[in-house]
Amino acid sequence: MKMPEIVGTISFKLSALYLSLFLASFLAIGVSVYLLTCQTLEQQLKTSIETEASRLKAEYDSGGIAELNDEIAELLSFPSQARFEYGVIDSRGQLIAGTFSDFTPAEGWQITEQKSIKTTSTLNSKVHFYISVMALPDNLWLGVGKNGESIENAGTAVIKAFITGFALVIILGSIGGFYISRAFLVKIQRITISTETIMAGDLKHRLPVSKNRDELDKLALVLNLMLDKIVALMENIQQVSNDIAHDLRTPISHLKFRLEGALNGNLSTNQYQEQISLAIEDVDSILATFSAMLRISQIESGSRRSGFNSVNLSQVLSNVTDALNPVAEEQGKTIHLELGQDVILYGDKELLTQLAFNVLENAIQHTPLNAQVYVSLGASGNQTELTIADNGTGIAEIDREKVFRRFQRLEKSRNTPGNGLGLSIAAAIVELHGGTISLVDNHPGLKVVIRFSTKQVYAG
Amino acid sequence: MKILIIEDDNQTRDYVLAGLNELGHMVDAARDGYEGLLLAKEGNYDLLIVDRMLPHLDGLTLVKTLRSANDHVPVLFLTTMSGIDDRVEGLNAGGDDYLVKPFAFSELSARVNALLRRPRETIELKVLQVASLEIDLLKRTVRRSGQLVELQPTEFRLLAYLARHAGQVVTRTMLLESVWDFHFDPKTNIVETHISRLRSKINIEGKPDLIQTVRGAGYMLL
Repeated sequence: MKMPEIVGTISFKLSALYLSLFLASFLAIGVSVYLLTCQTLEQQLKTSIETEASRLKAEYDSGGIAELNDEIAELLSFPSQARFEYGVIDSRGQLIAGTFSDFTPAEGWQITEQKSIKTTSTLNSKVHFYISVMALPDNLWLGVGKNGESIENAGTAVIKAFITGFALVIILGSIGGFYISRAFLVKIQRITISTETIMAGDLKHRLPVSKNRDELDKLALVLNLMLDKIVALMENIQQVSNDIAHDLRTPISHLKFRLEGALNGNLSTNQYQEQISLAIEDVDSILATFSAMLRISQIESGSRRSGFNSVNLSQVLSNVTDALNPVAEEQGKTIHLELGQDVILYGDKELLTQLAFNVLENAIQHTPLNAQVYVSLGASGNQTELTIADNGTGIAEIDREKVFRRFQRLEKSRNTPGNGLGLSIAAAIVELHGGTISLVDNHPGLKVVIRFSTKQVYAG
Repeated sequence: MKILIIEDDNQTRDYVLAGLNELGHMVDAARDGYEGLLLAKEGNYDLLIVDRMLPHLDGLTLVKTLRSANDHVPVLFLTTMSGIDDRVEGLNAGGDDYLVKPFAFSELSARVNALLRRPRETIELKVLQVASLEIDLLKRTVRRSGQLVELQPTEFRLLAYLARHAGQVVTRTMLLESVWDFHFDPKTNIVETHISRLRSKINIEGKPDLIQTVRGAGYMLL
């Protein structure tokens, strides 16, 4: 895994973004902690200096300069690093008592700079010196001072701690970001490799799905489902192209034989005309097969749904039955139509007409003489059921699924007219309307059951 | 009659042109939408045959343009698009009939004749009279030489359609579309079956057969 690749990943960019945000807030916290610490310590220092000064002023008030002098001398005799400095000056700045005269004779706070006493303080060699000056009677001024080294020290400690933390966050964040990004990239790369394998022609290959079930795995699962669907569609197309090759070759070869026969036959004009019109009939049937195939693909594309409307299915059925009745009667068959109250279906009237026609036509064509065909339509609650049943020879159970396939013609019906697309069209129409079509045994005979669900149906 | 064919495919155009010329029509041809529209606007034609897919200006727009200019010349659409959405679209745009390629010339000529003979101003006839046949469209009764003939509703619609186009060839597809509203090609010849029933009902013994079968084309009521 190369560095630039990782830098380019989304997870790396996100890690970098989070890291910068974290560092910025870390910095803000550091600055406020530093300022607060310094301020608090300074306040404490000032309070202690003021208390000391007030106490000394009280000594002066009770015993004059002599007592103050004694007190200061006593205080200075205790050696301490954190002790105060004391001094009394007159209006000209002359030291009267104590050891310390680096202040001006004016009441209030005076802050000066002083060389650091502590050797450990390397950061800055100078420290602030805080002096509280109080006016005494007799034109004298008392100054009590203390250096602010403790404040500077605390501030330095805070800065050091935050710099260390800052460095740690950067190091840990970068390493973490790198590993997270790399894990992400590895997954993506696995998916890429699988995709390339599929693109190279191995359609059975699937994208890897880990047990983590993270977003990438969910995506891979969906993509795998899509691949399954694509494979199914491709197999379907493959099947159709094979069918076309097979089922159109036959009539085209017949046509060729007929034309060759006519060409070599030395026929009379009438006979030629006869042959030509037969040839045209052949071409027509080939064209009809093409139209039927186009129609199936058009129906399957689903674009017809945009033209859906309320269709009176009962009326469609009686029209179709009416059209086919004389045909059935001619073959000694009877159609029994049983319609309840009007059923209104949301759909495509033309296609529903073709659906009813194809299924009924199929029942008439594939039943023996004197067969009875029962057409019934019923709406019960949330379902509409259209059944077309006959008492013919039926279809063996293993063949029932086959009849919906394109060009599928069962052995026993090879010599009846048709292209084997009638029921495929019917199935496509049912699917377009969100319904189901199934074949069941009618004991004896075949029963075609077509169901439409409530979503599309309004009984009425 | 003066007919204009607007079609970009040379073979189809020549085929239609030659066929219609042979039937005695005066036929002009245009190769693209603009040329077609110009000719249609100036030529005072009795019928336009328009391909749906044309260069420069498609057939649908062409007809819409004509209709918006209040030109009510009958239009027959030719198309390779077999979907019914396309057919409905064509009829909505102002087309009067629709024929899907490839088509038999007999089918085209039957439809052309039907469109040419159609009165521009449709006067609703109450009674159609063809030879000794009398069809009352209001009472829905049929008499042959005065004798009442009992017909089923479908048979009546079939006969009425034939009678409206008396003397013209009417094709199987035209009958399927107008009598049954079927816009697909059934395997079983339901038209033939219904015609033969109708024949047996109106051809009372001794009377001549009024419904002629035109071989390879369709039927004609005389």
